[in-house]
Amino acid sequence: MRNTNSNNGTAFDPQKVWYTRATVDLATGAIHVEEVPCRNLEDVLGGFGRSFQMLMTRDVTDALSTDNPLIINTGLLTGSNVMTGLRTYFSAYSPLKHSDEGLPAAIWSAASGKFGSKMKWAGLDEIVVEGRASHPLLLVIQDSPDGPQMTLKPADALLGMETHDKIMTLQKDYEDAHFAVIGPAGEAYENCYFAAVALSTENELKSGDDKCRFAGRGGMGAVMGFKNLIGLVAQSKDKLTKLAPEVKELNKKISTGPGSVKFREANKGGLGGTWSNFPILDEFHVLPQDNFRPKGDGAVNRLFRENLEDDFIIKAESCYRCGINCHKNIYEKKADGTRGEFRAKFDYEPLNLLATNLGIHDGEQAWKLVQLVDNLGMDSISCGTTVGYVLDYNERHPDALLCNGARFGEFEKIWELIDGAGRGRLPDVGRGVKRLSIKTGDTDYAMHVKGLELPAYLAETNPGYPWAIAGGHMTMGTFMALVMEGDTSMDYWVKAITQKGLLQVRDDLLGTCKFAGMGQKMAIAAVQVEGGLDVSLEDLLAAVRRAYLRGLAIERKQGYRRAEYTLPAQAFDDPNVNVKTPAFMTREFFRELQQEVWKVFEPEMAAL
Amino acid sequence: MSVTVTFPALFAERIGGIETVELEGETVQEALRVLTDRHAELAPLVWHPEAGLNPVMAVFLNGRQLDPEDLATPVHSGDQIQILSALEGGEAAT
Repeated sequence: MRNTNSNNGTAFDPQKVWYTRATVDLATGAIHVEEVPCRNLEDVLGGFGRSFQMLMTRDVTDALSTDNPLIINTGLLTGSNVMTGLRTYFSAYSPLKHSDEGLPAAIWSAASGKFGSKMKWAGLDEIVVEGRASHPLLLVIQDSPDGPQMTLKPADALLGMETHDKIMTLQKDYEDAHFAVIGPAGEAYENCYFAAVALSTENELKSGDDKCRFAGRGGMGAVMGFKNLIGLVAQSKDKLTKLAPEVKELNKKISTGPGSVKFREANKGGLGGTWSNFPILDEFHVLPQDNFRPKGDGAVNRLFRENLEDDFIIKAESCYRCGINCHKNIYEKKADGTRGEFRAKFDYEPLNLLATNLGIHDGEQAWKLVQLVDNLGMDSISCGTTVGYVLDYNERHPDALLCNGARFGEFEKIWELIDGAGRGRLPDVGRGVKRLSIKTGDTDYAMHVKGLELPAYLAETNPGYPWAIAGGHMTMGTFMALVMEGDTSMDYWVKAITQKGLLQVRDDLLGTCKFAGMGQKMAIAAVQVEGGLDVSLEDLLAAVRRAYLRGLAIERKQGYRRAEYTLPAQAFDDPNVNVKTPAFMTREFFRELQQEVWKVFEPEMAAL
Repeated sequence: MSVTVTFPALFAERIGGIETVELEGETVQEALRVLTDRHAELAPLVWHPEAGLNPVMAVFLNGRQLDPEDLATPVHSGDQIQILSALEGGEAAT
C-alpha cells in the first residue's frame, strides 16, 4: 500500500493511495503484478470492501466455473502492530449460498493465522485468481528486493492429505513462510460445497499440533478446489514497524479491556472464551440442541467448560502476538494429571453445532467430531447444521431414512456422515441444507437463510439473520440482542438491523479480529495512527455502511427476491415452548419488519 | 460508601451516553439497586425478570469477577464496580 496524501490538513483523497494486486491466470500461468489506484475509502481499507466491488462487476452464474474469480486479500491493519491485525479474506461467488433462481451469492470468509501478514510483507495486498488450472498447483509468493515474486508449482504430491498434514509438509520446503491450503473436502469440491481454507498458525508450525485457523463460510475451499489451486505459500521475513506509543496503549486496551473480556481467561479478568455461551444461553433454553430445538432437559450441561475440566487439560493459547488468548485448546489429561496430546480447539460454534445440536453430549466424542471437520477442511457451521437436519429428518421419517439412517446422539453414524461429506461420498450432505431440504420436500426445519446454514443461535431469537450478507452472526450483529436486551418492539429491531447490526462487518475491511472488541474510537485511532490515514470516524463508518449495502445489492443482482429474506418456517409456525426468551416471531411481525428495513436500505442501495 | 460503577456502551446508549456513575451503597447489590433506581432504563439489563442478576451480565469488583451469589459483598469508598455483558464479544457495533 502506498499513500501519497500529505496529511497536512488537506482532505484525505483515497485516489492518492495505491495497493498492490497480483492477477494470476491459472489456465495460462500468466502472473501480472501492478499497483492499482484506490477508487474510494473501501478500496483503501481492503477486505470485502474492496473485493465486493470487483465481484459486483462480474456476471457469474455458476460458482464452480472459470468465470468466478477468487480474491485473496488483506485489510489495512493486517500485518500491522495492531493486536489481532492478522486477517486474510477469501472472496468469490459461493457454490453454497444461492438464490432461489439458482444464482450464486457473493461471499467472503476471513481467517487469522499468519498467512495474510506474510503475504503483505512479501509485497502483496491482493491476489486475484482467475480461471482454472489443468492440474493441481501451488502458488508460491516470495519477497525479493525487486518486489513480490510469484511462481506456480505442481502440487500433485499434496493431494489426499488432510489440512494440517499439507501445511506441515509444505513447512519442510519453505522456511519462514505461512500457508493456506484446502483439505480433502476442497479437493472433493463437486460434492462438498462447504469446504474451507485452512491457514497455518505460528503455534501450529512450532508445536506440530493441528492448530490451523479456517476461512470457513461459503465454500471458498470448494472454489479453490475447482480451480485446482491446492495451496498458497507466502514467504517473507517478518516486517513489523516500530511500535508507536499510541498503538502500544491501544493494544493494552485490546488485551485487558472490556471488549475482549469474554474471550480471556478468568485469571486475566475474563469469562473463559466463546464457550462461556453454553451456560448463559442454556439459562434461557436457547442453546441449540437436536437441530435448533432446545429441550431444557439439562443434557447440554455435560459440555459446560467446568464439567470437562476433570477430563481434559484446557489451555488458553493465542494467535501471533495476541494477548487475548481466545483459543481454548483441549489436551489429553494423562493418568498423572499432566498434559498429553492436543485434541481440539473448543469454540462455541463448532462445539455446539457438531455436538450438542447433534445430540452429542460427551466431551471425548465432541472433540473427535470437531477435529474431523478441521482435518477434512470444512466449515463447522454449515457441516454441523446440515448434519443436524439429516438427523432431524430421520427422527421424523423412520420409514424413509436419509443417508445411513443416523439419529441424534449416534456418534459412529454421525462420524460417518461428516467423513462422507468431507470426502465427497455424500453429496446430499456436502451440498448444504437448502439443496437437501428442497430435495426431500421438508424445508420448514432446514436451518438456513438465503442458502447459508445458520450459526448456533436460534432463528426465533434473531430476526436480523436475513440481512446478514456473509454468515448469520459474523455479518449482522443482532444474534445476541434478544437475550441481552429482551426488546421485542418493531422500532428496536429496525434500528438494530439498519444501524448497529451492520457495523458488525467493520473489522472485515480493517484486517482485525472481532474478538478484539475495539470500540469505534479505538478503531479510528488504529486507522489513523497505524494505518496512516487522515480520515474521520464518520468517514470510516460511512465506508463500512457502503460496503455492507453493496453486499445486499450484489444479492439482488444475483436474483434474491424480497421473499427470500426470511427465516426457516419452523421459527414462525411451530414455536418451541421450552424457549424462555420472549416469543414475538410471528409472520405478521416479520412482514412489517421486512417492509421497514427495506424502506431504509433500498434507497441507499440505489444511490451506491 | 461512594463507589464508581462503569458499564458497557449498551447501557450508556440508554441513558444519554453516560458511561460511569458514582453512587452510594454498602454492598455491590445495593449499589446496583441504586443505579437501576436512578436509571430505570437499565433495570432490565441488570436484573433477571424473576430474581437476581441478569445471567447475561458479569459483575466485577475492583477487577475481580463476582459470582452472582456474591452480590452481597461489602464495598468500600473508592471501589470500582464494572458491569460487562457476558455474551457480547466486543463493542464494535456500538
